[in-house]
Amino acid sequence: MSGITWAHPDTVGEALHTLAANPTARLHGGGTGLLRSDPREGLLVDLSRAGLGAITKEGGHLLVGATATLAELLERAAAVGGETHLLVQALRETATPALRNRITVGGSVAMFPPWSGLIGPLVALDAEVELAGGVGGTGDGAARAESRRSVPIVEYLTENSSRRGTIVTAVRFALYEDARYGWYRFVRLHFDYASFSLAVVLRGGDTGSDGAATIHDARIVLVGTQNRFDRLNGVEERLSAGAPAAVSIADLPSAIPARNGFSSEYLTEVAIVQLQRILNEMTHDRTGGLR
Amino acid sequence: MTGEFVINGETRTLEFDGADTLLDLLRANGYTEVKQGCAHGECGSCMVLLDGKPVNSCQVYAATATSLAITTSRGLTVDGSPHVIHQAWADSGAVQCGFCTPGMVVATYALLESNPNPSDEEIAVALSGNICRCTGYVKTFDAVHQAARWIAEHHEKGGA
Repeated sequence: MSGITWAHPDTVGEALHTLAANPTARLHGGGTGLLRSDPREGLLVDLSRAGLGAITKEGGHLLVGATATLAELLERAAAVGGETHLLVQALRETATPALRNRITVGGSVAMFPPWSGLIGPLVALDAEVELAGGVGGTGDGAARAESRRSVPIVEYLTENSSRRGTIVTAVRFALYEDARYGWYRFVRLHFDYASFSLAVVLRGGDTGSDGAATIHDARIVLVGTQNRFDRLNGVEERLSAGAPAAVSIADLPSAIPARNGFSSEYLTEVAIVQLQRILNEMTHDRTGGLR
Repeated sequence: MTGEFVINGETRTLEFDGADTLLDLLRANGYTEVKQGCAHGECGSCMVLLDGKPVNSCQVYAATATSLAITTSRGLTVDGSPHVIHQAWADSGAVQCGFCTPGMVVATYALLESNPNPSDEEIAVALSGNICRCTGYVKTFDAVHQAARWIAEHHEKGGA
């Protein structure tokens, strides 16, 4: 017999109250991440009944509840953003259909496995993470649940103080009218864990007489580096300034470590080549495309 | 721990451990058509429908599956007779050792519910989480197409 016990809160407030009373308790979204660590004792707090599963379109944004699954997000992103939306491209290649029915958005954000197909796109989309509890949250669970705030996903992923004592309740990102998206993941076989992934968002203005549009906002994210993920700010700035987007190793803030039998040098070189291909296709090869 | 589970339409009160997966629970209670393969969500042998959606039961804690509709391959049988998907697997020669078959059948059921006439590419995506180490996959694709044809014929004849 294990020493695992369960709590099934019906609300976020109840979940926060349970966490406050049991500081070592762990949160359960879909379970796929927890099962990899196979805990044998302690309290698991199941959020699947806490009312966090809705996906709603709010103006020009999509608000995705933390316990929405990758399958649900994929379906909704395709409905509102079309088949070329960055999340659609990425999530179609993430895990398997059955696993996508269990992996939750909140769990992926909180755990950020290095092979995740969700985090790169969310960073490239400048997503915000909505949190309940934590800083500013005092008193009982209901009062702490009232302490809600929103932080940029980069802050959430890089600063532990953002996440201490909190529950991810939702992720929010903008639905752009003027964006094109690029996506690539390096795998040996289709459903291998990715050694790295690239997510690109290019936003452009009005189409000019030459059929091209100016890029005013470029976001390029490489996931799987020594920093876990990096924004390629140098390439982004060159693109936004209208300069050629020649990519070199100097553009990578940190290297991709050796992984899945591939050397660091090899993976880094492949990342540069693939990013260059994505950018060439997005900026040069399409009539009326961004330039 | 004790929980109420709805398995193949039957409500049962079952004991389980807090660390048990749905796969553990099902096999311990006689649903041995649900196979344990990798136990890491990669092979699909343990696939069941949870509220109509295919999931790897090894990736679901039993404690989170109470009150949800759980359907195994056996649960697809109709009055004790094989479902047409079972029959298609047999007639198409898509079964050799049979270990992957219950998961394949469940995945196919979910596919045909949403897409009654899938292309080869759509079948490949839908069954991408189901690994067979015996037959290759040609007969598997044949079986899905055969099942789709039989279901379509059944509907054309006015079946429910």
